[in-house]
Amino acid sequence: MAAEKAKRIIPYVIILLVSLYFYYLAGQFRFSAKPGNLGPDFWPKLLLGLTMVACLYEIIKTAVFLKIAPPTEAAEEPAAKAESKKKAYPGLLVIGIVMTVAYAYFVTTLGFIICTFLYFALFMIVGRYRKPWAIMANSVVGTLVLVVIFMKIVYVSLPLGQEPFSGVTFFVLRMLGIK
Amino acid sequence: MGDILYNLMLGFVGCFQPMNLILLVAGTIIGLVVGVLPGLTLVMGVVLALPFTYPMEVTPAIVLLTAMYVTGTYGGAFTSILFRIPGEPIHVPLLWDGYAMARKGQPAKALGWTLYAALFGGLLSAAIMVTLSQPVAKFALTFSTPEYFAIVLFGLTSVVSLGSGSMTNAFISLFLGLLISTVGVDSTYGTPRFAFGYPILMDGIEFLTVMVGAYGVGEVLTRLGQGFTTVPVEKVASMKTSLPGWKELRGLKAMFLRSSILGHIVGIVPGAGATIASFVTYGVEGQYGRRRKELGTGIPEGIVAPQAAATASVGGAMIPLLTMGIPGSGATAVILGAFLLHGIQPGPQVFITSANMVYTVFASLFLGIILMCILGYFAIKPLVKILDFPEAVVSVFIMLLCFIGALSIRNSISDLWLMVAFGVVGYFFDRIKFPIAPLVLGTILGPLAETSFYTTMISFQNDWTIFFRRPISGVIMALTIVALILPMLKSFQTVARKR
Repeated sequence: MAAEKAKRIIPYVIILLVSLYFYYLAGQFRFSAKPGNLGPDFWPKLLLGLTMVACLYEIIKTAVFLKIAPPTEAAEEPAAKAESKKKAYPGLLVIGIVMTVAYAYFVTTLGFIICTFLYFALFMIVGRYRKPWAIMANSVVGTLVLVVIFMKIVYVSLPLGQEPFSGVTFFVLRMLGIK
Repeated sequence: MGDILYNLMLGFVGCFQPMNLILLVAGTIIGLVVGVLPGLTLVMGVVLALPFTYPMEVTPAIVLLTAMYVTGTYGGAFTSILFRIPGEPIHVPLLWDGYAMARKGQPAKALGWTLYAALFGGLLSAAIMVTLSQPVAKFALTFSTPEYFAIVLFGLTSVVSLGSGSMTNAFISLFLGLLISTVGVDSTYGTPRFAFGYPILMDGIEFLTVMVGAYGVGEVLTRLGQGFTTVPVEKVASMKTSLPGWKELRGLKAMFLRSSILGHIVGIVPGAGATIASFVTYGVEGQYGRRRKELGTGIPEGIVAPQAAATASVGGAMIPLLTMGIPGSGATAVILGAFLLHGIQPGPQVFITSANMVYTVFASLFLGIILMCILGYFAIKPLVKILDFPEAVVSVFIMLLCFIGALSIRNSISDLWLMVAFGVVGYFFDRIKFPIAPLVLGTILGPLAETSFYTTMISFQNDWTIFFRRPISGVIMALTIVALILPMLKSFQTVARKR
C-alpha cells in the first residue's frame, strides 16, 4: 500500500520540486519597476505558488488521508481481464520516442527527404506493420507527396541537409520539378 | 438586422469564389475523414491542416478549418453506429442508442436520425451565431481590461471545472500552461523570463508548438505504447441512410430544438466543446426527456440529442472567438492561430475592418453543414472504408505532419525540438491522468490573461477589487466563482454519500 501511495505521489513531488526551482529563478529576474507596481516576476511567481499549493494538497491528501483498500480476488479478476485486453508495449514506446528525437537531431544533417523516408519506413515497422512492399511503397510515395505539397505548393522551408546528403535532396527536387 | 442579412448575402457570394469553394469542399471531406478515423481527433485534424493554410489568404484558410471543425462533429457518428467505434469522444453517447438501434436491425434509420440532427442543430446554431455575433461584438467594444481578464479567467476556470477527472490535476495542468506562456521577453518590462539565454525561448513558446506536440505527438505515442491495437471492424449488411418521415420528425421537434439550443449555449462557454455538449444533452434527455426510461435501448432521442448538440456547439464556439478573440475550445484555438498567422486579431474590430471575411466564414458554415449532410448521405461506404487503413500508416503520417507543422511555425528547428518535448509531456500527462486541454488553453490564453491583469493593475493603482466592482466584470467574476464552487460541492457530496 505504501508503494502504491508513493507511486501516486511521485509526479506531484517532481512538479513541486521543479516549481520550487523556477520560483527561485523568477526571483532572479532583473527589472526596474516603479515602487508599488507589480514586476514581471509577480505573475510567474503567482502561478508557481498556486502549482505548489495544488501539489502539496495532493501529496498530503494521498499520504495522509487516502485509504487504499487491499486488493480482493473478486476485484482483481476484472482488472486482470482489462489489463490483458489493453496490453502495454513499453519497448515500442521507447523506440518511438528515440526515433522521434533522432528525427529532430538528424533532419538538419540528412535533410527532410532522406530523414522523412527513413522515419516513414522505421515507424511502420516499429508500429508492427509487417508488409515489406507496402512499407516501401508508402515510404516512397508518402515522402514524395509531402515534399510536393509542402515544398512546391505550400512553400514551407524544409531542411535540405548537408553535403553529401543535400545532393540527394537536390536530385529529388529536380526530378519533381521543384526549384 | 437588415445589414446583417445583406452582409450574409455577400458572404454567400464570397463562398462561391473558386478558391473558397474548393477549400470548403476539401475541408468538408477531410473533416469527415478525420471524424471517422479513431486515432485522429477533431482538434488534431484541424492542427495538422494548419500548415497547409500558410500560403493562403485568410478567408479560404478559415473556411477550410471551420469546415473541418463542423464536419468533424459528424463523421464519427457512422463508425459509432455501425461498428461501435467512436471516431471522436463526442460520439460516445451515440454508442448507447445509435449502436443499439443498429443492433435492432435499423442501422439505416439510426444514420438518418444522425443526419437530421446534425443538419438541424448545425443550421439553427449557425443562424443564432449570425444573429448574435454583431450585437455581441458591439457590446464587446465597451469592454476594458478588467472585463477581458474576467472573461479569460472564466474560460480558464470552466475548462477545469467542466473536465472529467481530478480537479487538482486540471488546475496543475492549467497553471503549467499559463507558465509556459510566460517564457520569453516580458512585454511590459522587457525582462527575459525562463529563456536560459536561448534566442528561440526569448521569442517565447508558440502555443501551436505546445498544441501540435501535446495533442498530435502525445496521442500517437500513447497509441504506440498500446501497440496500435485496432478493434476489428465487423461486417455490416446495410450501409445506407434511411431518412425518418415527417411524422416521426414532428414528434421530436421540441427535442431537436432543446438539444440544438443547449448545444449552442455549451459551445459559447469557453472551455466547453462538442464533447461536453453531446454528453450534457444526453444527460438532460436522461433526466427530463419524455422517454427517459427507454434511453439506451436504441431510441431516436438518444441519437438526436447528442448529435444535434455536438454540431450546434460549433456555431456557439465561434461567437467568443470572433467577437472577443477568445477561443473556447481546442479547434477554435487553432482557428485563432490561423487568424494570427495571417495578421488578423479576432475581436469586435474585425466586424468593422474585415466584415466581408467574417460573413464569408459565416456563410461557409451554412454551406459546409449542408454539404456535410449530402456527403454523409451518399458517401458512407467509402468513408468507413478508411477504417481498413493500418493504424501504423495513419500514425506515421500524423507524426510527419506534426513535424512539418512545428518546422513551419517559425522556420526553426528549435520549434521541432520543443514540439517533440511537448509530445513526450503529452504522453506522460495522459499516463498520470493530467488533462491536456487546460495546459493548451493556458498556453493560448496566458498572454491575454497576464497583459489584461497587469494593465488593470497599473490603471487602477493595484486595486484588485476593481474586478468585482465593475458591473460586467463583477458578474463574470461571480460566474467564475460559481463555476469553481459547484464541482467542488458536487465532489464533497459524492464523498459524503459514499461514507
